Amino acid sequence: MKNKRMKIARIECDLKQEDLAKAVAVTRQTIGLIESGTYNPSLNLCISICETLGKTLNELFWEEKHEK
Amino acid sequence: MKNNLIQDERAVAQKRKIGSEACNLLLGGLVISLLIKEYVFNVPFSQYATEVLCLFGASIYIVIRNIITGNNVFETKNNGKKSVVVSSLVGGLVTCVIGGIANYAKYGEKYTDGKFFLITLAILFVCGTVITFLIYSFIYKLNQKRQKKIAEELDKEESDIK
Repeated sequence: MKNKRMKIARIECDLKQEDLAKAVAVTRQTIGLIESGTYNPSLNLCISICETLGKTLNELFWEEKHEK
Repeated sequence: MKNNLIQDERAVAQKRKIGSEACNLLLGGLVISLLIKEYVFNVPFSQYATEVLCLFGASIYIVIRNIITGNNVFETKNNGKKSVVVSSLVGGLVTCVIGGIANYAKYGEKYTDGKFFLITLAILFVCGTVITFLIYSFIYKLNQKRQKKIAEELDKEESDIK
């Protein structure tokens, strides 16, 4: 499932995939794969992304279907 | 009946890591075994041809698989060419040392003048450097091509703001 919220948050911060990748010390491909929903990032990477984009884990990675 | 097999991601990751370590140890052992057979026991090539084949096969597999998956085998973006040249020189040096020792052990008594041995070393160094350079350049080009393709795909995806 595509992670559109992460993509939108990145664009809101005026960051390119390359910039975000550099900020969290991964390759651009990894960011692309997370956004396209084909790669499951580790919790540490999720936290780094959230810190860089100024969002919470819930805002970027929590899906509605998981909520009770 | 429902399959209740536990798929613990930590255990799976650890098992993969152990497998990878075992593979690295095996490849290292293979190199040592080849060197001992070639230079200590002077075993004919036909006796260890399968090991050479396995080593090259595994090396080619690792490189090709990494390139296909999209992993950048030349990590740094701007120092790729530099690392090709450095690796070629190291390859030439290793060929020079190993080939030089083997050559001297075989034909040492025939070298009446040290000049000829130095010429042999120089030839070994040049050949080793050129061959390593050609192999690394080919891998570098292949890697660059794949990275470019991935970057284009990502650019296309990035521009698609939906």
